[in-house]
Amino acid sequence: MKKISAISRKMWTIEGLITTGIFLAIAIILNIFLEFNVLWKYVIICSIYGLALVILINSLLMPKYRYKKYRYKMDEEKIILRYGIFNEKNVVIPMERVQYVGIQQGIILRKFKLLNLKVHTAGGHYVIPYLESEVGKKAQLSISRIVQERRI
Amino acid sequence: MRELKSKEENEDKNEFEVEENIKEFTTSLKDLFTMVTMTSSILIGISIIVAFCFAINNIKIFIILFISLIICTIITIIKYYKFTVIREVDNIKLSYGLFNKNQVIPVKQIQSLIIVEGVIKKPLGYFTLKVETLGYGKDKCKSTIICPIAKRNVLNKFIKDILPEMNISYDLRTSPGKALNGFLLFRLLEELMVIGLIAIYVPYGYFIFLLIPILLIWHNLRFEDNGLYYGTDFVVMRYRKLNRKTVIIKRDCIQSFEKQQNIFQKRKAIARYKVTIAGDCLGKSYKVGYMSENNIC
Repeated sequence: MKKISAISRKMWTIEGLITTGIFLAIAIILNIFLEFNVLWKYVIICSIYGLALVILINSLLMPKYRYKKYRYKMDEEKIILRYGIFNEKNVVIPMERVQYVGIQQGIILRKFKLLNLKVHTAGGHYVIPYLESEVGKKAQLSISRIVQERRI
Repeated sequence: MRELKSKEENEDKNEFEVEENIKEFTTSLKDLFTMVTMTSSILIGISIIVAFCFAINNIKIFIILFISLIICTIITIIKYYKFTVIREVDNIKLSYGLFNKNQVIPVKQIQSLIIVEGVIKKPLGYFTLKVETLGYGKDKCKSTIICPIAKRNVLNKFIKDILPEMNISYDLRTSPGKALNGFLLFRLLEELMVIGLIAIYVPYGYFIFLLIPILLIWHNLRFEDNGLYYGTDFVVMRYRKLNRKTVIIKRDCIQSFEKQQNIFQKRKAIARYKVTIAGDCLGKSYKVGYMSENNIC
């Protein structure tokens, strides 16, 4: 079982902070433009503020434990993913069913030299997040080689 | 296709049925009429509830009932009249309806077989068969009805004739008793919220608390129906939401396999299994929860 990159902790915090910012902006805009006269307006705005707070706390405290739990494994027969703090998930994808593997890399990810590996099957896709770019590209190559050999 | 427990009973019957070796199956009109009464019984229930709520006269109720029954009969007979299944070498041919619709299913594309036993159908010993096929383009994962209604004791013969590939014997493992508490707790939590809201806002709403023991019994039944079998060629899953469904999936068609457990379940070695087969962009998945952990993986 391999671990994902250690920088992922930082990435999760950044991601969380960005979403908190978006939620806060929405809440503040609503706060300014809505007149407070009915109960449901209070409920909506307070719930958005609450959501922002929850995401903020989550992004500050949880990444450490999430990183500890995140494992993946690849061999010639299957890909295994294991993650989740409270709700532990264990995914097995047989290599025969993999159709293609894609790479996802945004601006922030490129700056930290990380990438997301996206494994596509006929029934949806799974993401292996935050691999170091060399490791990720090597993994993509090896999987695509196995897929190609199978086709021939 | 039989469970191992009832193996001995079925073998006696099979000896008689071997002689008539026709690979064809037609749904009889009598079965169709029973299907009509089953579907309309739901309508009858609804109309009785409506009558209680809005206090309509007795005569009007009967008129509504009569009309709904007639409409039901007409629709089902137009849809399923002379539903015939014919097995050819590598195709299954369907022809049905008053307007004689035809359909061909290649056997190679069949991913899974679903046996549906409804709430009313099951105690009377009836079932419906569905097949999930792998297609291309828009309808990637299509489920077609192979058999609209038939008696339970025909099931073995039906599958032997029409789909001999799926003719397997399996031994389902049911959920362990220690998982019952968690199952009941999580089911009832959702329903208690709805019930509480109704009790507060609807006049005389607190009568709805009488539903709780009924729900408890119902969830117990649901719990007993959970089952999982993991063989070398097939995966069989059985669960009940409203209808009891037994899903037989070819193992070559499984796209991914997932095991999920939360902290409490981990302590008790209980897990929830999810199998995804090919479908639209999200895939089609079947889940069975609250099974003992050491089954697979």
